[in-house]
Amino acid sequence: MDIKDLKDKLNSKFPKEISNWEEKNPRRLYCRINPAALRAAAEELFRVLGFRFNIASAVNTLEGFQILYHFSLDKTGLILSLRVKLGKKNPEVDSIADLVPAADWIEREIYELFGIKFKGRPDPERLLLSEDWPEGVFPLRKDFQAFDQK
Amino acid sequence: MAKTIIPIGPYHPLQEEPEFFKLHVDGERVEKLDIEIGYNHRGIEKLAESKTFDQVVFLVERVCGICSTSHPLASVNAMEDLGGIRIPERALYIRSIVGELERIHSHLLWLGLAGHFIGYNTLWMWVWKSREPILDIMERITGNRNNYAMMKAGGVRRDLNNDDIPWVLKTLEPVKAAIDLFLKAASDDPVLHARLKGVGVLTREDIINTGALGPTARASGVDIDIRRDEPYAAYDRVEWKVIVTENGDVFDKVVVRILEMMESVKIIEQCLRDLPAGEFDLKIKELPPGEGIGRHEAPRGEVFHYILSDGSTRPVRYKIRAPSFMNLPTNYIAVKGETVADATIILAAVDPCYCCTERMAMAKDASGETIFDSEALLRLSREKTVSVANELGVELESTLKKSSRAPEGRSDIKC
Repeated sequence: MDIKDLKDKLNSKFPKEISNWEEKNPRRLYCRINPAALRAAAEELFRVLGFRFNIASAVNTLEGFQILYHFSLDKTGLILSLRVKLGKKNPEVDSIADLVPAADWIEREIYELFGIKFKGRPDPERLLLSEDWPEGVFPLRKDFQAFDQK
Repeated sequence: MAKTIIPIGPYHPLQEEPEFFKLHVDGERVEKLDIEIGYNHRGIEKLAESKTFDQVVFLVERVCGICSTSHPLASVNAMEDLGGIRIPERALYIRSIVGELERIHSHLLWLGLAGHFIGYNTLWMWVWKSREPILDIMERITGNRNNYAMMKAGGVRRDLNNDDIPWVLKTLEPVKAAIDLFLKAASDDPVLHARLKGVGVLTREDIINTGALGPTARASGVDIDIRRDEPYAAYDRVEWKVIVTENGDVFDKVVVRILEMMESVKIIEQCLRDLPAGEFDLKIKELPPGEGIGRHEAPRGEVFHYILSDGSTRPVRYKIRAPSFMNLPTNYIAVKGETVADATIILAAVDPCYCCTERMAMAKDASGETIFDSEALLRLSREKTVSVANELGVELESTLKKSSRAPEGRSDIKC
């Protein structure tokens, strides 16, 4: 499956939900996806098209938060990154961990470090931060200040 | 009957990465596993946002002390993906040489400790002895036995001296012989078969669901290797093959790692033979705004780096996917239903950090009596090996001891 086939398949399945295709080079493909269609798209990629879930990267920019879900097709070395844009305040998005088990730990990590909530999963124990880390302080947000600088 | 929980972790001075396993056991069977990580969370992704791209490569070298060239290699791949940069041929070959030397030393380290855990201490000592020449080669090529500081965006930081090549090839010879010996020892030893076959099995579906990679995945028939699937460095310029086996047990993970070392030797020898002349560094000054993704097949699996740049000298966001982050959750599946005596080697088989067993803490039962501490668990593992050997009526490490002598040790390097 080359990039054109893949784009056709996803465009026909998610005509309105997927947009802003960006083909950086033959092995790197980015697109934006409507948060409401994330679960369906993740399931399509992982279960139907045979993609592997690499990891997700949360990003905090001036416009707010976004998460890139990186999926790869290992036979071709292609990496497709689905970009979900979220608001500045109380960012939240549907969890995909029940569909893609590999996403379980990274969702926990993103919640702890960025404070992006994943809907539809139980509140887990902390994975990375220690138990005495204060609630509601998210160290990888851009507005985070180290405690000794406050 | 009250349930017993055996805590393993989280700290031990020998640890490279602390984590905390809680084994829920019923009698001798492991029913459930809890994993806690984060004890060594250093905020490297956050730190990277305050470093220049040149410094980031040094920073990510400190992510892991064992695969200390894997993160820099993925990092420079990401920077070159971001800038659309093609680097000089000579640098590509040098990157592969350093990457494969690292794979050999990392797999030998694991193999030795795996032997140690099941009571094969001769194997442990011999394997580690054979690791020394690899570190000597690293020292000669890069100047360092660890944390080599060889990678930089646009090439490598220092050239490989052509006069060193005959010495490197000569130093590799005893290592090659030793790897052959280890393969023979593993495949002929009836005790190892009895002890490791069918233990901690992971199926193909388990691997695909958890997203695990590296030898953990390839021992379960999942044919993924970033070096072949998305060629970088000189991996598409030399002959080698991806090692895949089907059984998914601890034994297969041993075999995959030993065979991979043989392939690594082949790659190094070809790279040294074909090493092109010319520049080794483009001397890049800046990177454009945009996004970049770089990957490398580290000894434990895929290392994945994502960079978001606004065109300044520092990244806006730097994301690292370390292999163990995705491999560790396979332990939830692999250890379930196994015996406590086997848990030690199963948890170590993923190669997350082998010293896990040594940071085992005390477990007390309801009456306050100590049941397991680190020594007790290791003893349990070793006693099982001895009893298996007795049942089979063979001597421990018989195949190793039958071979004429230990592999040749330190090379002729003079300090």
